[in-house]
Amino acid sequence: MTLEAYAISKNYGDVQALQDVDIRVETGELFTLLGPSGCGKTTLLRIIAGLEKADKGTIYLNGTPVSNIPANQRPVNTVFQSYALFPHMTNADNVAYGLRSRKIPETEVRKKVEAGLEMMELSEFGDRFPNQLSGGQRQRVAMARALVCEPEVLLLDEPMSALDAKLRTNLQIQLRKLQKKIKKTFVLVTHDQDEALTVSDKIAIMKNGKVLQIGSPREIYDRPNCRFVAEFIGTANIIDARRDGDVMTTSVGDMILPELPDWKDGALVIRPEGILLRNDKPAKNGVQTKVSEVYYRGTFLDVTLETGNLRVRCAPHNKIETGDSVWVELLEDALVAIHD
Amino acid sequence: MLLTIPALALIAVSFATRGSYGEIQWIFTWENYERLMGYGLFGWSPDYLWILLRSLVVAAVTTTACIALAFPLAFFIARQPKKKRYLWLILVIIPFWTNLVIRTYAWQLVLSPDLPIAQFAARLNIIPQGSPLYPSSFAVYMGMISAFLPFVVLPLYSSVEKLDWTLVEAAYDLYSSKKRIFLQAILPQTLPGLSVGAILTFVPAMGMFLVPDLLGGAKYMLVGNLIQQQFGKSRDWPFGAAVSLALMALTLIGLFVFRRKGEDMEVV
Repeated sequence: MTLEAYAISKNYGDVQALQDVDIRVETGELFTLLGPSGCGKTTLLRIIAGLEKADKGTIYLNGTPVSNIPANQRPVNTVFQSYALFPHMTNADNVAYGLRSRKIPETEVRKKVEAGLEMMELSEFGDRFPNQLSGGQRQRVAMARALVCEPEVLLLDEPMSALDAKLRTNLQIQLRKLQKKIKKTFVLVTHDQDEALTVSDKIAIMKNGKVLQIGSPREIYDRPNCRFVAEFIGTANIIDARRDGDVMTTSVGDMILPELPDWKDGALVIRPEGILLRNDKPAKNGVQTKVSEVYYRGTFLDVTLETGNLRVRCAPHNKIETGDSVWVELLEDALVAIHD
Repeated sequence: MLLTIPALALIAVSFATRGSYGEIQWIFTWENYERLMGYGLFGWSPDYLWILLRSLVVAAVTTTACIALAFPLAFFIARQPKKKRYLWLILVIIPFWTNLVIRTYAWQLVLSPDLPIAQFAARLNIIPQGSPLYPSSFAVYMGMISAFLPFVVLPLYSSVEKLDWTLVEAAYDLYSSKKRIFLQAILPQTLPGLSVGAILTFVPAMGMFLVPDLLGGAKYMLVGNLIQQQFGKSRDWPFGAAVSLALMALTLIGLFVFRRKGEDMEVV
């Protein structure tokens, strides 16, 4: 089922939580709302769920407006950040909750609950209560509770923020597999960029109630469209630049781009992976400089150069030390022009 | 010690005999309990049993009515902005600053024939023109409910204030009807405050004698009045002790039933 949010605005008193937000999520897509806390991503999710009403704008499910359908009638379920499991019910009763609300015959409820618990590898925990489970298990109960209702759209509000890093990585992969298997539309809210890059088909980067960029993880990472996106995701070298004829004049030297921007003054973004160390002067976009810092990070060396404080990543077997004189090449395909 | 000695003494006294001048004579007898069960000098009559039953009903109705009123009130207060909340809580508490006797007399005044409530009732032909609304069971319930409402509102409010609203949202998100949201997401969370409030109301309501005395008139006798009479005017301590113990037993039974009901509700 496709999901569309069209021109959604929402104010809390003087605070503009959302300003004219448009998103479109295709059927079977895992769409992530990514941004720092207070950017409005959770508010948007709650509006989609029907737990909050937008001041302006409409939510469409499969092209039908649902703004006036209350949350308990929308074919949408939510996995809450705190999981919101009912503490006085067993895990099986928790999972059965939505089905019983819909007055589905008890034999069918049992079957679906069993299947749901099995899918989440929780079969042996059905008779226990939520407070007898670990955080990761509780999160899976919450997932099962939402999924047995077979929602057309599943909303996940920071479902992994309360879990430790290792477990989180594991669950991210499981989440991705699960979503591919059941082919439903998922909308995920997170402030964790690694999570967003790992699991998403598409990411919307939000800031101060606005969507700044929507794209695949690769597009977002490789082609950020503004300074905020570049800095929010991963590490970025941002170099002030000015267009002079066919070349870009920058603080680190003249650069050649495959395609020139249409502005005069702006900046170039390049990821550390886009800068390569060279023995000799490269054919274009070369910079000769000294190494000011080197950190060994296990899988790579984190090198900082004197010129423009450029950060470079290179393989850990490179013998580089502070003070070494080096040539680097800023790969022209890795350079992104931004203007904001 | 301080609690058990008087209780044990009460048990002992309840099996003693009243002397002709109201003193306690230590002659063991079942007579007090027989009398309570209705076996008197002139054969069997259910007067005392009626009093016990009426007390039970009055206490149960008062508790139920207080809960029914306290729920919306507690939610109303909890939904106010912080500053206003305290104002409302103070308004709930202020009546406590006045003695119950005075508050009960105030009800007599409120229900007196010159004031709108009685006049309105008279216009509806419920009572004759120019007469007060008391003594009546209506007046007793008004007095009882107003006396005990804060005891339910305050503990209930403390539960409502701590309510985890995401559970309510989760229930709503999972296709719950309003009734199911209340029973499954709100009630279990407020049950601790609710049971404290119910006990704080039910137990003293069982033994209440002041309100029925002033607002119920002579015909509206409850166990509390009976006990007070036996220890006071009648000077029949042994019988009074027997009635007191019967009241205690009834209260315990009432609480037990209430607890069972509470547990049942959690399973709904």
